Amino acid sequence: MSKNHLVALNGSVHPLEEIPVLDFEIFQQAILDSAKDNNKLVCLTSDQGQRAFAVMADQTSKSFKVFQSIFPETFPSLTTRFLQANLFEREIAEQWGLQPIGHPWLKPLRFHKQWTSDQYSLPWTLGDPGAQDFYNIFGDEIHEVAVGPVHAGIIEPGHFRFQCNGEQVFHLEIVLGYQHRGIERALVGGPHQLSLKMMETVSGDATIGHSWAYLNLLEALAGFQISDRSSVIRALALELERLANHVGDLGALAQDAGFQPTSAYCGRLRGDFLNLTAEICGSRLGRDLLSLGRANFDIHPEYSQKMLKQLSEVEVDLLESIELLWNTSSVASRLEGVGIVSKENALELGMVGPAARASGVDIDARRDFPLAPYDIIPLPVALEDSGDIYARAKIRATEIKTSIRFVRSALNAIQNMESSTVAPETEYLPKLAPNSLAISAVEGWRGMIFHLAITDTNGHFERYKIVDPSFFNWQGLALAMQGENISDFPLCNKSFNLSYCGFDL
Amino acid sequence: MYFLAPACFLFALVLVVVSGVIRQFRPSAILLISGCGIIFGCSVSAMLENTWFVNLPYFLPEGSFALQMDAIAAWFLLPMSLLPPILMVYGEGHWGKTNPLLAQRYRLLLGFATASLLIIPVAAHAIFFVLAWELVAIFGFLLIIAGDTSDKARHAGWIYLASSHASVMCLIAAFCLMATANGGGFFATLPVGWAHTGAGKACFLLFTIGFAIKSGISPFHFWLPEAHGIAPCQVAAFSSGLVVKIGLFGFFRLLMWVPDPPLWWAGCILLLGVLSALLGAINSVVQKDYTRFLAFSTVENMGVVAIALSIAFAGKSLNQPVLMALGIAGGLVHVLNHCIIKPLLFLTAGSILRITGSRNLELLGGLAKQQPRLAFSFFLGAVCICGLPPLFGFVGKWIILLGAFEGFTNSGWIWSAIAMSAVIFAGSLSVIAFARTFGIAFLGESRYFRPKKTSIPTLMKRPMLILVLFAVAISILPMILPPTLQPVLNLYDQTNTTMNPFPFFLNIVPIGQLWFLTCLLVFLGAFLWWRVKKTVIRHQPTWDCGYAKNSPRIQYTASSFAQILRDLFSVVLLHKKAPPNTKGVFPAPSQFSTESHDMMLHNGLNPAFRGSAGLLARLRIAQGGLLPIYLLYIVITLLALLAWTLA
Amino acid sequence: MLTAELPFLALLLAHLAVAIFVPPFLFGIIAKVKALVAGRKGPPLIQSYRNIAKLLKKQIVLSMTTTWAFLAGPIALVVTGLGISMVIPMGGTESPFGFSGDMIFVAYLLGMSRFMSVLASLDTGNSFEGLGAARDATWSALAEPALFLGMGAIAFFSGHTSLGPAFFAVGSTWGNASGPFILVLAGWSIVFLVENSRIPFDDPAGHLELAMVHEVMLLDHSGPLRAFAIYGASLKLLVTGTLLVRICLPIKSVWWLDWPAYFGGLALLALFIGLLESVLARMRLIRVPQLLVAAILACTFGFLLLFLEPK
Repeated sequence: MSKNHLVALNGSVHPLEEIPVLDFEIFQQAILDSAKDNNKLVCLTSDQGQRAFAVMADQTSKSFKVFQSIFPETFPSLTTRFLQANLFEREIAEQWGLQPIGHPWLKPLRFHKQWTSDQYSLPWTLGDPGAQDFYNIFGDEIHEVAVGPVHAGIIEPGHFRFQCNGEQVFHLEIVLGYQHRGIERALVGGPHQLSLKMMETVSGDATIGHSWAYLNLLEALAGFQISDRSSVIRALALELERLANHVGDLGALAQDAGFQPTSAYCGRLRGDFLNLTAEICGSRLGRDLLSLGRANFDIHPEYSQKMLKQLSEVEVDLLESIELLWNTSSVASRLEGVGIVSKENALELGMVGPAARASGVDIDARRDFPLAPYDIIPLPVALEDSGDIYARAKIRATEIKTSIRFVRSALNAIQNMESSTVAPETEYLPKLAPNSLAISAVEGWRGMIFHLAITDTNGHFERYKIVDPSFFNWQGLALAMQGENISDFPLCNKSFNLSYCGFDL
Repeated sequence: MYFLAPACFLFALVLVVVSGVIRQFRPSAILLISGCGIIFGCSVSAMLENTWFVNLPYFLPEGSFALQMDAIAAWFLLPMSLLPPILMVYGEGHWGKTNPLLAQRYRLLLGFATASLLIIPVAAHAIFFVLAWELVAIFGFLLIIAGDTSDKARHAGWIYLASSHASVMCLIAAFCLMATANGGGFFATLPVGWAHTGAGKACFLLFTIGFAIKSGISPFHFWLPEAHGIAPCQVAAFSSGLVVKIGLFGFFRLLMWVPDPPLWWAGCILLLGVLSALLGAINSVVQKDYTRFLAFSTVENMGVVAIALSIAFAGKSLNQPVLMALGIAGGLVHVLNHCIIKPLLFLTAGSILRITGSRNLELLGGLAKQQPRLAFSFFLGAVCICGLPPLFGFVGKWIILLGAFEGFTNSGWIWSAIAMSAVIFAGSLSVIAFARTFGIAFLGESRYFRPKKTSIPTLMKRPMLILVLFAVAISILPMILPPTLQPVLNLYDQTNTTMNPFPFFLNIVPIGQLWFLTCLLVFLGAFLWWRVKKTVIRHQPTWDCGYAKNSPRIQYTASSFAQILRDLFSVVLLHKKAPPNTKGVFPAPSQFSTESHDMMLHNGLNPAFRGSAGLLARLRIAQGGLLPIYLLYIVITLLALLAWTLA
Repeated sequence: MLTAELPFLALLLAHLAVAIFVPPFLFGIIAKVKALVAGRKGPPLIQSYRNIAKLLKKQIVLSMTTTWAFLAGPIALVVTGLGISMVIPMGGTESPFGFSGDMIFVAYLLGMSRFMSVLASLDTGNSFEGLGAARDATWSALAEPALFLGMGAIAFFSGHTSLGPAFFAVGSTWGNASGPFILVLAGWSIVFLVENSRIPFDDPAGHLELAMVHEVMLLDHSGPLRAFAIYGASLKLLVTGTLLVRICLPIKSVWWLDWPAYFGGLALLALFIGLLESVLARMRLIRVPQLLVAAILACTFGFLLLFLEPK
């Protein structure tokens, strides 16, 4: 084959022999060439430290390109030529001890020992996470502000190091890794009985997103087909999850700006959306709703009527409360023109999700790599171009409206679908295709969630890679704060609302 | 009997001069202390209505050695006699062991400078006055460059010398004009109406410029920060504490000489005072060097006294004795406050410099734990100079503000509203500046300086203790102020015989009631403190959000503290920032620094002097270097003069 | 017009009682109003008292970095607040310890409490407190000219420099000079909000240390020190609020009408603060100096109008 890569669709499985093995320089060059065609690097990883895999997302052909190579012990870093590889190379160095030469900021990512030996990768000898040197601006007039890992509010741990003079922030460096649980490593040799549970808790507020991505991949490897009804239920749950989180985010933004009305109302309304999910499966976050090949709970006509009624009530209050946010000038002055991420920076970093769409990057996995039923019911993609906090809030408001429409039409559609299409309980741990590679992408509410799995000869996982959308977007937050006032940081952080544990895995 | 007091005074002067000449420290100190003590006694007795005047029969070209002690001179002589022994002991403590030669030189210059300084309040003839002024200028210059031969020190010294001589020139011209009105050089009340003539106006302007330069009032303040940023701290204490006061004393004398000052004089002085107070305060907030910071604080305080003087002048112009009394009383109390506290602050700064070896505020931190008493004296000094209750600095500011209120309520002088706003705004900025300096230097953890257990010599500690005791004593008993102020007020207001002491200080300036309430509050504070201290206490490190590895950079810096004000007033401050280049995901190593320049010096004088130097350099072609050419110049000049006389 | 005043001892006791017992109630009113507007029931009105009582029983944990300055901050807050309460007129025209020029004393006591709070913040050696202290001190310094120009206007109008008689003259002749005093009231309202760190300058209910102004200076205090800090903040609210209330309140003749009117005025003020905090968001910090300059201009124009009016 003259092609040097494999073309894979979302939720497809391919034998490993189909992927051509390239020389490492050609591999890196191929990635760069693909990037020139506006493809986005979705994943760059290794299995057990020998083979290298790179997945590029191609929006025009709605498919992914998979490249393969063999890692040398040390290799020239791709980061200086292609910024999207930045964190991936740090991860590879940390996990396998392979050194990217010339990486401009080689620091550990999650502060754990190598997977192959019980030691930390050289040149690091580490104790506590974060106890490393930061980027310093020299001069005795600069002071550093160290926020975290324990924060004043009940949020996840992460360390932010600002270089400031007075109110002005010159540089922000974010260090995470406090919640590293070793999920990827625990999956090796799986899937186990608890793997689905682990997937649900990769990032707790994106339960449906991660579990759907996992199940999609597992179904591809096991060769299952799911019914239309189950896929509609899955999409419904995903949109409800998106709604609850976006509503909560807008309330939190209002609270941090000190604007009480919207903060109080949205706080209550988020609970209402979570209750809608609880109507389906008894869990507000959607735990145990999805499982292999099916949805565990069905939506009977009375339930869907009830849910439609609740949705209408909530919608009125919600839209009013959001309009209040835009119409109050004191709030708008806090949000506009602050924390700008330019489109060039967003593209350069490979940002995804609402944060990228707020900067004008047109990327949405529901349209670009659609799973059923998104291929039949296309959703309009919300897009803003100013890249400030206001844009990120506006995107959320637009997506709320879009999702409400989708939920309503899904609830109506499900009443007309064939009943009892919830598939019977299948084997909990099916047999998977051996020596294969499978990928899966779902647009979680923060952005595109990507899972990649490589199976060994016995059909067990040799490598399972999870890429949470926060993996890319944290760098966007660091860039957004350069040159801003430090008092705008809480709003900026809330406008991104990224997942600490999704990054830490 | 009448001549006992002047004889004592002159004898004391001789003692002071001799104390400088003697080499050993102990005899020298005894002489200085006794000399100053005698002068202190003379001043106290002058306060008790024993004023005198003598005219010594020694030859001074066109002048005479006339001395006159009156209440205002006595008031200024009180601090001027208290401070020099204190400063001399401190200097001995600082240099005695390490650099005895420098200590001797310091004592010599201090003795001579003190003697010339002590003459100025009592000088009663213009030539004598100017002679003493010039001597103070020269000895002050020598003191400033005493120990330091670096370029920077010499540069600061030149600026000081040039400014002082500019002020002397203005004074000479002004005194010449005044002599035409008085018919001689003796100080006397000027004829009525002369102040409104052209000569009178010119005289006032010249006096104002001369006195303003000497007291560091904007726009002539530029020499103060330069000189005090470089001089040893005890010299800076002498300069800031005493020498700049003679400029203010000159204004007080002017108020006494002129019977009917026009109202625009008050406006003029007010303008200078407001400019000085605001510029000094704003600049003091952003300084990195803590001695320069104290110098700008002096500029600000001189501005406040100038504002008080403007109120007094307005009172005299508008024939409002209460207004004039308030202005004079406020100005004098603030002068006393500054005379005691600014040397205390400078001596404390000198101790910090000795321990840390750096004038950079950003490197300090946590000194209060090593030197708790030093911290407390700086704290007391800061509270007093900012005019915060319960210390007596508040009394001065209070009287000045009462004067400002009186100005626009009862006297109809609306500009006192500007006076009030300027005093307030400068006061709040100075609160910020002192809180910043004290907080960064003494509180928190040490930033870059690793302190050794250095102790301060006793000879340095005792002077600071004495000044602290003075400040506390006056604060506990502010009732000693009215009887000392009353003779001065009587001096200025001889026409109004109904100004007897008790109503003024009972109704208009009720110091007693203020004192009572302040005492109650202090007791309450002490009680609460005792209760809090008794509560069981556990000690832990400051909460750091759980981060494992703290660093001293995670503390606020002085520059960051001042950043909001610095950016707000960047027009005035000429602050240069070198912002770091941190754009992008992987920024290169960068650094950040700021620099402040004095606006007058940087944008006004330096370009002016450079320009004039350039212009004048063109005249160099006239300097041929050959003797015959110069002889030719002389011949031409003589011929021209001959032609002029014949014509 | 004879004003039936309380005798001195009764006046002193009344002022003490109000200063010690009333302030936390104001916090309670504000919290209740905010909760009701948000659709919640809200904490009971006496919740602040319970908080203070609970804190008084606890121990103090001190940081090893701190010195005496840390203890002095909250104590100075309480002491200066009580000092001001002895001097401002509450229910009548007299205050127990009023004297000529006590307006200046009030302003400088506020300055002293600001000085000590800044020192207490810098004492901990953490950049959060330094951040808050810089903001608080700078804004209060910018707001002080507005306070004084207002006081100057009042002194000019009434001819007195003591707060008691001055407010009496203003209040009893509101109709004659209402224009300038409305301007002064507007300027003073902004000064009031700045000094007490309310919305739009600070969010007292916020928990974000990077954006705090006043709260962050109290972060490290514990036990009785924290009780003093909370009580001192409420006392400052009371005394600065009294200035606002007294400039508006017309003076009646007898004390059993004046004092209830005063309490009503305070409650109304607390209600307004609660409502304001419920509908406005917090300003961007870099825009705050503009608002303070507006306050200074308002008071300046009020003063000038008074001065240039034919009396």
